[in-house]
Amino acid sequence: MKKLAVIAFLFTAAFFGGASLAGTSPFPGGPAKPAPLDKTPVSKVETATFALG
Amino acid sequence: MIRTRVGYSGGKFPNPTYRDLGDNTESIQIDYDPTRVTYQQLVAQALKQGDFSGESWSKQYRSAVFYHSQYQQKVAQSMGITKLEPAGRFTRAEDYHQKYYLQQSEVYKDFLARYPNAKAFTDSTAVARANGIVGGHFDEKHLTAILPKLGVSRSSTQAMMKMAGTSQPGCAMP
Repeated sequence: MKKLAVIAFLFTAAFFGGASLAGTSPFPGGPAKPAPLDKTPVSKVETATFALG
Repeated sequence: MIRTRVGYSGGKFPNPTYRDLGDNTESIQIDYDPTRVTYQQLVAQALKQGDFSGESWSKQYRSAVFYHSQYQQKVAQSMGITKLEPAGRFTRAEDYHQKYYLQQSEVYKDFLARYPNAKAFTDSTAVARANGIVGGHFDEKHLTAILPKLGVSRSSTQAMMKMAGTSQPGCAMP
């Protein structure tokens, strides 16, 4: 169930924003202070690519 | 699920941008741990989200699977997907497109403070989770488990708890 929830949000949440913001970057730059979750070791990584138009 | 990014793929046009994609297509790329999530599950979700039937009306918006291995190709074929292409170059979309829901959210500033660099922000698992939370795709039980790992302030934690299960069924962009 948890897996399905995670998969679902990835596809529904990672969308393109509106063109009205074109040309702006909200990031000031600088070193990251990783959250605890980003310090969790990952055993294996594979990549998948989809177009969902 | 480790990280996600949106971008442009499937074309030969160099250096695509949102304003000028050339023959590229808007795409999502997902890094995942295959010991926890299977490629079949990802394709199944793609089938729910994309329109793989009929002809696409534009190169920019079409549905396709860009496979990274023979295994992925075979899995997608076995699930009835005919719009298959080998994964080639993937160009990241502009910063303002990445984790778009989160960037529009009241809790965004907490993550911007942790990840002031666009690439680190996009590549963060914590940020990917937060984007899903803002999209309303976590229930209360899972939120309670994940929020302490995101490193956000108490006020953002409280705000995110209120987002449990707020997604609209069948609506990709609530």
